[in-house]
Amino acid sequence: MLQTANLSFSYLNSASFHFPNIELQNNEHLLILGESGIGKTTLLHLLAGILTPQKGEIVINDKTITNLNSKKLDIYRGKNIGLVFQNTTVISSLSVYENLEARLYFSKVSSQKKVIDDILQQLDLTEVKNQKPNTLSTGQLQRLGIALGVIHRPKIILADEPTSSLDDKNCDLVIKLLKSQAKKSDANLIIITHDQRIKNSFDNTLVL
Amino acid sequence: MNIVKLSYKNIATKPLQTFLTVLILSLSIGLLLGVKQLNKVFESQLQQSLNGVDMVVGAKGSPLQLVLSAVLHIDNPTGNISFTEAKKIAKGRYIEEAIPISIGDNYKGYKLVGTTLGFIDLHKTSLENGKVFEKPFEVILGNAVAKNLNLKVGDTFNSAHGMIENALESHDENPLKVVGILKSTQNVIDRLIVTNLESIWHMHEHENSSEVHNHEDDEITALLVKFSNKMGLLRLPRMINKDTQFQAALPKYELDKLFQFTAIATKSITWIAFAILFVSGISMFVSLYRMVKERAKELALVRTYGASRNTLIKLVFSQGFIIGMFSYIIGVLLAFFGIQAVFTSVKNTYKQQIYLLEFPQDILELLLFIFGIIIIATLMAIRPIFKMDISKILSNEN
Repeated sequence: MLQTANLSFSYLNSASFHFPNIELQNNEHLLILGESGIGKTTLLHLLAGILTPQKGEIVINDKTITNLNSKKLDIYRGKNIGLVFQNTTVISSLSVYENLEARLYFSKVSSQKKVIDDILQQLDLTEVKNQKPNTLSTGQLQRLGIALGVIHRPKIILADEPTSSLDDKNCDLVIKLLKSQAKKSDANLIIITHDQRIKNSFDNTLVL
Repeated sequence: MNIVKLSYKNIATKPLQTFLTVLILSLSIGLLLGVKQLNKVFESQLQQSLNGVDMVVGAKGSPLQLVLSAVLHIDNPTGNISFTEAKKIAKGRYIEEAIPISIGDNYKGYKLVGTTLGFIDLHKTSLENGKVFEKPFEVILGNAVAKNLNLKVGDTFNSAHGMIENALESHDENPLKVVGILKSTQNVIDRLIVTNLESIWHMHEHENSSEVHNHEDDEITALLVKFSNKMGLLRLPRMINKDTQFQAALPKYELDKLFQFTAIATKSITWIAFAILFVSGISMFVSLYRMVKERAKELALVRTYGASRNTLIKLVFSQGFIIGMFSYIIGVLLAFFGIQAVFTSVKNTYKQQIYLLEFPQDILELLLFIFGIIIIATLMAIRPIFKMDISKILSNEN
């Protein structure tokens, strides 16, 4: 369950962003639409605990994360938040398998071979598990990004423009993957985008 | 997966940069350790070989040469002196003990020393087996001589004239008989063949057989003197150098002068090694700093995984630690094998076995020093981590 109340944030020497309240029940998904510069990524980073709001609060499963100190917030984010980026970011010196291992290690989630093998299989990455990320195709890299966002079974999956640079076919595929992984993790899925193509895939939409 | 493994993987992606950093760091470590150890070993070896000899009296010439030849047995003698005249000095005030030595022959490069039994006591050793010499042409072998030449009590051999191995001027008429072997001392006596003065005189008497031997003409190479009190140090050397045809040299003073001279070279090498170490410290810092800057996006990603700022610092330190420790191990090995090569060369040239001295202590001291460099390089390299704006890095990249 996710609740936000009166969230606002301002960058140094810049206009303030005031965000509408959000309330999601368990397993509920939300699509946040908005034009560039409206503060979509800022909202996503606030929900991820990467940014701290000047005002307002964020409550996830009855825990007010805006009240956590830096150390506790790091731990909370690592265990409960999964981030999926438009351009997948990975550790370039590690293989696909090792990237997933590192994800679990830094999240302080015990690394189980079976968990990693399962997600590799689900996302059709088993064959490339020993390859370095720079040898993967765009599609494989994107699936790896999703795997990194969900392998630790987070409570909230946050995806930032996951379909913007994809064609229609791959756009559908990525949304289906994200939904199915959110279901498997029993997590809330929040996607922020300006991509209108996926509007119909979600019942719950918020326009900034 | 753990921080060390990730650090290793990161380092492995920059093989050339890592290789260069490791190369100069290990070279400087090897140089520092090698020079320090060699300096310490040689100084200790020479000081130890003095064996409490306060003064050497010998023929006029270089005082350092007199000390090197009569005490350390690594140079040619300055000449001979009259034994009769030397005995007069030996009986003088302030002298506790005066041991005559006569050198100038060798067997397979090991020097033959004609002397008294006091010479053996002076070197604080005793017989391992056999007995002391009683008659001319009986010899006692230093431990290393017996081992290296595979000689035992009862064996005989012919010495040769001169200080180096020389089969042309062999004293074939007077074979020397081994009657005893000394215990090992790790000292100069290990590589000497000791006999009485008469053996030397008789051997050289033969060379001038047409002359009638006159004991008044007996000569020795030097007199090794121990003072009975400090007044001897103040008065005797000046008196001998001024009033006699001999020269008196003070081994400690001469060796100190020698060390001062060699210290210029060792200090220069040490400063060069420190300069290289400084450069390698900078190289390590640059390597770590570049990692932090170039992998800023990956470090930001790791923060989103739940890693704290401290974890990122540990990651940087770990990379520095791996590079530093790897260099350290190579540097220690370089120093060790380099020193062993020098020791082998010394053994072949001077027949003297030398051993490492306080090596573990030296490598431990250097380890702390390298650890300090790693910490300083890390502290300088982690500054961007404190300024890291995860949101901005991830937003810009996406």
